[in-house]
Amino acid sequence: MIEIQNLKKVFEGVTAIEDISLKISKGEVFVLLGPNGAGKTTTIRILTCIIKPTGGIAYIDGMSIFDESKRIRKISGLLTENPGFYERFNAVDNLRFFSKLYGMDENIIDEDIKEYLEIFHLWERRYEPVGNFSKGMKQKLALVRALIHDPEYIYLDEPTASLDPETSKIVRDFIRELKSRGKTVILSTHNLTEAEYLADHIGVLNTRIVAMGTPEDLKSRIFGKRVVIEFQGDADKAKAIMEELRVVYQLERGKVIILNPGIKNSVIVGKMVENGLDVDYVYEERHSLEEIYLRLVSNHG
Amino acid sequence: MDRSQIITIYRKDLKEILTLATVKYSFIFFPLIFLFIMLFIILLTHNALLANNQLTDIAKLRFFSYMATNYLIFFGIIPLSLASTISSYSIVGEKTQRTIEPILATPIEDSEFFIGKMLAPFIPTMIATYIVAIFYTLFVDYLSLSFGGLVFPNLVWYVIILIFIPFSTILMILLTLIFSSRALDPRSAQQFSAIIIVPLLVVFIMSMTQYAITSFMVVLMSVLIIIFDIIVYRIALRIFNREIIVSRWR
Repeated sequence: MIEIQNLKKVFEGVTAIEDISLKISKGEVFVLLGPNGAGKTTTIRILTCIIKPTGGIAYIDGMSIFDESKRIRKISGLLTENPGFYERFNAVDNLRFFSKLYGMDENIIDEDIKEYLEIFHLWERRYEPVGNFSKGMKQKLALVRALIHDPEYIYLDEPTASLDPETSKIVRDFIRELKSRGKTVILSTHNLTEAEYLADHIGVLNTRIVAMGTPEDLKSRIFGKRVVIEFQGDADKAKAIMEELRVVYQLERGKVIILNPGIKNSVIVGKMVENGLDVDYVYEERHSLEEIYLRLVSNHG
Repeated sequence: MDRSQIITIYRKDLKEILTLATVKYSFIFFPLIFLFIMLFIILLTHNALLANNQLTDIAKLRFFSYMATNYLIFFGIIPLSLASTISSYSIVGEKTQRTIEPILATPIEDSEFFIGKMLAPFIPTMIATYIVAIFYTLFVDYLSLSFGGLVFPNLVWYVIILIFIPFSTILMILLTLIFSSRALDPRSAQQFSAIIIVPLLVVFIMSMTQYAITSFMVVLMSVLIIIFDIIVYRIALRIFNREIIVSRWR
């Protein structure tokens, strides 16, 4: 479990993050959403013990980032925003080097490298200098580097950036598989569809945490529940019914939109039918994560 | 401190160094050219003494020994020149390639990283220096036989070759690594490596031209260099700042 308490980081007088407190349960996919400069990378760097916070504290599996940074780094895997490699080395040599730094057993390093390179379709090109790789191939290799030592906590900063759609899908499916293996994934992304697809919880970050919850929670919290009833008939009658039911509503041509109804849809529909209105459709208005994100970020920008 | 982490960094750096053709050839040709120059100078000295009919063999041997011993200090130029070029790029290179953050995310400690980075330029340059120094030593002894005695090894030889030159090299590598870790762009790191070698070379040349190198002098200089090494190493670790390294790189 990751527990963050009042985390703050100031770089030369500029506040990167402030008063961040949250808990991430073991085995969940937590998505950090936020615009550029919101503090996503800084948060990840603090949690992976690369830099120290100016204030606050974080615990990973009960271990303090101040006192047990070496142990924390051992159980963490990091995909950095701009992953770099030794371009004159091949993929295997690059991975061997990092595996050794993670203290992996020499006997299993090569087996694990093979397994991961095959998953990401890089095995055939394992002996080519990484400098010859495309951006997407390097991104996949960086992902392998983050996972090679089988970490419990995996921090992925824009994992599908610069990947083609097919490889992005492989990565997304793999993240889901990691979750099913009980790994905790902290994902920073601008890709809202990806966030919605993968996230158990989302934290919208804009120096501070401006909202947090499951994707569904965020939707209902930001826009509320909006039930749309499309009907045919007298609009005044519909208006009178809504007034009688004391709901917050908005009447448009051929439809009434009810905000957080508090009454069962069947009761509202029953009343409308009783009063001679023809109800065609009843549905809940859906908002995309993008709308929620843009609303949150613009409110706290 | 985990020795395997140090070795991993050292081996990786060495492999990286040796994949650069320019560096690989400078490791071969620079010491080789230097060796020929030194052999030529000592041969000229020997021939001049041999042609002198006024001096006894004992006086010739003494003078030859004095010159050959003084020249020893020049062998410090090999590791200083080679190591400064490599170590200036060392940490800057990790930053340029954006491999520094993935390294710092592993369980490596700052001291392990730093020592590994120090060894990578130190070991190959010292090997090159020792090979050259051995040839020089054998050649000097071969020439000195004509004066009826051997010059090397003497106490000054041991102190210069085994203590003074290695520890001077370590000092230079440490200073360059400090700057490399704090440099904000590759060019400034390279400029620093070019500048830092100048005062060290001046010390070498002054010690050669002004005074006869005595065993007391080299022991004193070596002790001072070792003390400096310890101080600079501690400073280097204290100011090695992960935050600056990952967040202030251009």
